Amino acid sequence: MNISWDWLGSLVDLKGLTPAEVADALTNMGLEIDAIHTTGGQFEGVIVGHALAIEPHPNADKLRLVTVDIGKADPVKVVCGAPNVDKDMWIAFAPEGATVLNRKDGSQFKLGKATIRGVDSAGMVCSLDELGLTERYGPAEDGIWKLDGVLKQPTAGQPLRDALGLSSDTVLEGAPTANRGDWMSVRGVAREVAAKFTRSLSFEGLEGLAGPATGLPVAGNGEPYSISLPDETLCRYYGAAVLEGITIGPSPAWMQQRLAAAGMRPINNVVDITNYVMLETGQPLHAFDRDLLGESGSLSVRRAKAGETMTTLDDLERNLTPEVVVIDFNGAPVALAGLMGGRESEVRDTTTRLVLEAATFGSAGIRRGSRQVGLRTEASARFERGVDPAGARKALAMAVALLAGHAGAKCTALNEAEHGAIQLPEITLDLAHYQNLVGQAIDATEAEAILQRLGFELLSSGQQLKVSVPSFRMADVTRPVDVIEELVRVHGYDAVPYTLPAMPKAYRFDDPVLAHEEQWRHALASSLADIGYYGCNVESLGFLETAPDAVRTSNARANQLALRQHLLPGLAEVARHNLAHQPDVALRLYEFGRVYHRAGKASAKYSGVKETPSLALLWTGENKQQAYSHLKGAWELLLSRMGISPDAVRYEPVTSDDPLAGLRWHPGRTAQVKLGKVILGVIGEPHPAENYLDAGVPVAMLEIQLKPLFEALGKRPPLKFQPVSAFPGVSRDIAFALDESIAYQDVLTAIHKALPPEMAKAVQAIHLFDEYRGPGLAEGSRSLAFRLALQAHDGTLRDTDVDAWMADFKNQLKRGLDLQYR
Amino acid sequence: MQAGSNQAITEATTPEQLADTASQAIARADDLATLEALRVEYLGKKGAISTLNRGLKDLAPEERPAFGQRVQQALGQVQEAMDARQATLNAAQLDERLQTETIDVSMPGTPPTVEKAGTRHPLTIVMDDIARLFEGMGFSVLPDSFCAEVETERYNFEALNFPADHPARDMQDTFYVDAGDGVLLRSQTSNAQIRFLEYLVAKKHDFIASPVQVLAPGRVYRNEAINSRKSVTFHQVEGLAVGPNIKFSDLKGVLHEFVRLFFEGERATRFRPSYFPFTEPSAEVDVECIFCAGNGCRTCSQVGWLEVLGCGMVDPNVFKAVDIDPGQVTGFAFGLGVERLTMLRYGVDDIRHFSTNDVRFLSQFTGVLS
Repeated sequence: MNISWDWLGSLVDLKGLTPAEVADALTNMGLEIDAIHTTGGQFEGVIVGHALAIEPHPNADKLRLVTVDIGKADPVKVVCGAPNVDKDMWIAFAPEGATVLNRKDGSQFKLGKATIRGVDSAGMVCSLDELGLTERYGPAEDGIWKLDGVLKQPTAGQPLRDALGLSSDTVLEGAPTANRGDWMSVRGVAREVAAKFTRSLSFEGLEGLAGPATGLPVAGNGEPYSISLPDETLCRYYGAAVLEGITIGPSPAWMQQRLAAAGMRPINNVVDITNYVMLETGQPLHAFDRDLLGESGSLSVRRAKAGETMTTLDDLERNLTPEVVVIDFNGAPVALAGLMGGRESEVRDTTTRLVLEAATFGSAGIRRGSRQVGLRTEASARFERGVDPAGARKALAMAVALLAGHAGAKCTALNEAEHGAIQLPEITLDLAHYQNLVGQAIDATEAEAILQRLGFELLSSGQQLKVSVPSFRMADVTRPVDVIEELVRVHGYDAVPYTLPAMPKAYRFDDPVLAHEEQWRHALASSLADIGYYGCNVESLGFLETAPDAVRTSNARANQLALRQHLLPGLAEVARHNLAHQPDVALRLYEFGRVYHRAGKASAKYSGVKETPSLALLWTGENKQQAYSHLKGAWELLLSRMGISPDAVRYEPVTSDDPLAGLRWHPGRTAQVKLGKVILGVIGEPHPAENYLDAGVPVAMLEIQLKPLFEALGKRPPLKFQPVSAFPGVSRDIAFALDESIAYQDVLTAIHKALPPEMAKAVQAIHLFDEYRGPGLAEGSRSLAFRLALQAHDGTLRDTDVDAWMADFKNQLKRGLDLQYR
Repeated sequence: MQAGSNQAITEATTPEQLADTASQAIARADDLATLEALRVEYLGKKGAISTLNRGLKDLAPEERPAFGQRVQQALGQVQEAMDARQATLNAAQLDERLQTETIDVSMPGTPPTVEKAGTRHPLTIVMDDIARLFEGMGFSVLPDSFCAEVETERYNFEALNFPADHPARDMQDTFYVDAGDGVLLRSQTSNAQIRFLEYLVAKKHDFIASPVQVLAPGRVYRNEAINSRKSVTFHQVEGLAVGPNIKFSDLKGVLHEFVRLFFEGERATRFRPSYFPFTEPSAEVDVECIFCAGNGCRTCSQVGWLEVLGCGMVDPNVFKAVDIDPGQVTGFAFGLGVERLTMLRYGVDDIRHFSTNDVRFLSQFTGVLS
């Protein structure tokens, strides 16, 4: 919404206020002004000049000296570098002291005295972009702007703006919020300014602009048009003014300039007037050519029928559905309500008679229609936010007056239909409520004054303030809290003090899993950072998931996107990016993220999608390094950080090279990770036939679900101190050879099982310290060497006891495992 | 067949014989090296097929087409056999490789050796920091389960007082997904407000005796016209306070204090009225530009202020939607844009750094204290 300062000033007294001040005030009232710009060029003091003579610059080949007639007795000489300057040419001349734009960065600067290559220059010959006029007169040709042809009767020395007939206006570029239909009008903005600065408004002053107001005739009784509004929600009021004697022509210059400032292209008097009234009042209008529409008949507002079509002003044939609201004339749609008129009854150059529509369409209907047709217009933007229900007839009167003044129109009839009278809501506000919510008291007198300036009618004053809401605010002010907002935003958010609430009891979840998951995530992230891993943030939307339980977007702007079902493909992408930029880097990457699967039926309270918090790790290293082992080491560190014994987690080899976590894995170097009976995820190296990273470096990856892990942690009994033994410990080593198909974890289980009960109590740790293959061992077998650390709580262990335990243990172990002691 | 003209070929072999001989040899090849030798022998530049082809010029012109066709057929046959064998041998070689590379996946891993510390992602650093600062003011962080990213319209819109068919729903362009009617990717973290309040109401929480102050960090989605480079996911931290006596001035105080702590210094804040359906009154908060101290620079578009968050007093309709009597309690809510705060705090100039995850970018945050 572009607000012309000139226009605003015609509605509210702006004396003594600057555009910057008003912009600031509006922003602080909630109508954010993004920028301020001026129209009519960005220059001061530039005049029309006439090049009388051109001569070479004595000291520069590319520069020339131009003698310019500036309407004074003596012409002046300037240095000019433009190739297109010529004798007898009319030019835009900026004398010393004039303000123009810097071509390089668009900033304004004031011309000072200049000496260029030893020759004094009395000013500057300007190009279009130095004047900020490219948009209006462009495209700019190389060099200076030639005024020949632009000005009919150029006069040297005439101010350029006068010569061009340009007026300068300042434009505030506002961004109205979605709740404020009234800010989509100059009047609405004027009302805010008046409320903030306590200024007077003059909304009825069409005199001087429009000629004497003609007023509307008394509404006719179904002649020439009968109007019916079967559905109040689609349209509350519909007025059609019948106008004769129109002469299509240009609209007055002041109107064109205001429209241009607001960002609308002037077209002709009829179109411009309907736009002008819309911009000023916020009420969209539509003009039908009466000769093309039909002399008389019935107009109604209804939903389109399925399969109905209509060609709109932009020459597109629209296929309509019942979502779209149309204006019906004698059974056929002639306009899309609140969106766009029909091609067939469009106003053209030959139009002499009009049917002018002003209606209060329901916002929901217009919004649905707009989405259905895929069309957004200035009109629909206003109807969607909600127009003043009492505004349509006023806008019609204003338009009729303007058309009388500027298009020769005479209003011969008015036809209307309306659903009941408007009930203005009445709201009572207890000022104590204000104080409780805002944290600051407001004086009753001030509150009353603010509301009255905003157009509210005061019904009763005092602590219990009762107001009636003006029609143009009915849509968004319905409750006491809305009135509080009006008061505090005009009074000023800045004026509200800074306080701190009383410190509440910290909220704790009874469920230990809920209570601690965030802390666990944090602890793991710290551990990962400590071992050199970088946290990544991978987009969760975009990967092309094809699984039947994938979640896909249904309204993406471009390609359909899917939510990821695994973290690793994305992390592999990150690795690929990094290796492409730093081929030698050893990557340590992780991501905490969610994966998404459809699960069950959606309802009002359940999306039908399960979101699974997960952790992925990715490791790359140098050639010949055991990627798997390095990554597993990192994972085991995380387990130990969580106090989970490495023995509690099992690694089940995968039996095929089917994809897991969205990737194909090396079947001999990949395992499913299990905690108890729950599969947490997968750890392994990529399948050699699938080089995900396009890099010949060892890679290992892990992806696990966090929930079962955090649940296990949550269910664990709280830590309880264990006494520390005061007696020295001893250790014993055992080594044995066995078939290498027997997994380490199974060996460990067998060891635990084989420990005699007394000894088991004393075992503090069992540590694998050597693995050996080669000479001395049978093909396909390996030797494992373990160190057992033992310690008792009730005394020093005696060697003889330990030796006896060991003998017992070794016998037992041999019964469980096919091994040879070494 | 005329004697003489094709003597050289008949002396050697016919194309059919050649193809048979070759196919048998190929089938016997039991490693890739042997197969490669056979490829040279039969299909190489000086191989048997080429020799047959060269003999073509010695034939009578009318015989050439037919003979040429036979050679082509032989070539095809040999090539096919070669490809099939190659595939078999490759598979066998891969199998063997997988076999020999097989390890005991349960062996203890190699303990990590570290040359250089890693770091949390800068967005995580900032989210953690935000949580820490607000925890100091009595806020608790909500668990994941309150922060669903895939939501129903009830939690993203309806309970948050977004009127149906109102342009407020366009304030954030929302992705809808195919999981069900009206299922969407949340466009703001405010769904957590509803999820948490509903949870408390179900537990008959007494807001008068125990006001709550919580945070809900997480990922949100905006359906913007994207190309491969532009991000459609962002992060927010939602804040919510509900109690018998929570005031707009408290909201100002809490956020001002947050800004002071987050940007490490006293900075002016500016609260501007705005519109969010789920708060009334609503505000957007600007912070005095941290780059120019409010004098105007490129980052703040010369205005001296940086917009950092949206907030307001919980709208009574939000309380009603979760069966809380708005006459009994009040509340405030805010939403912090994590990417924006991170960019401002560290001067990051391009939002894409956050999702590219270049370690040259990430490693810059190793030394950050948080």
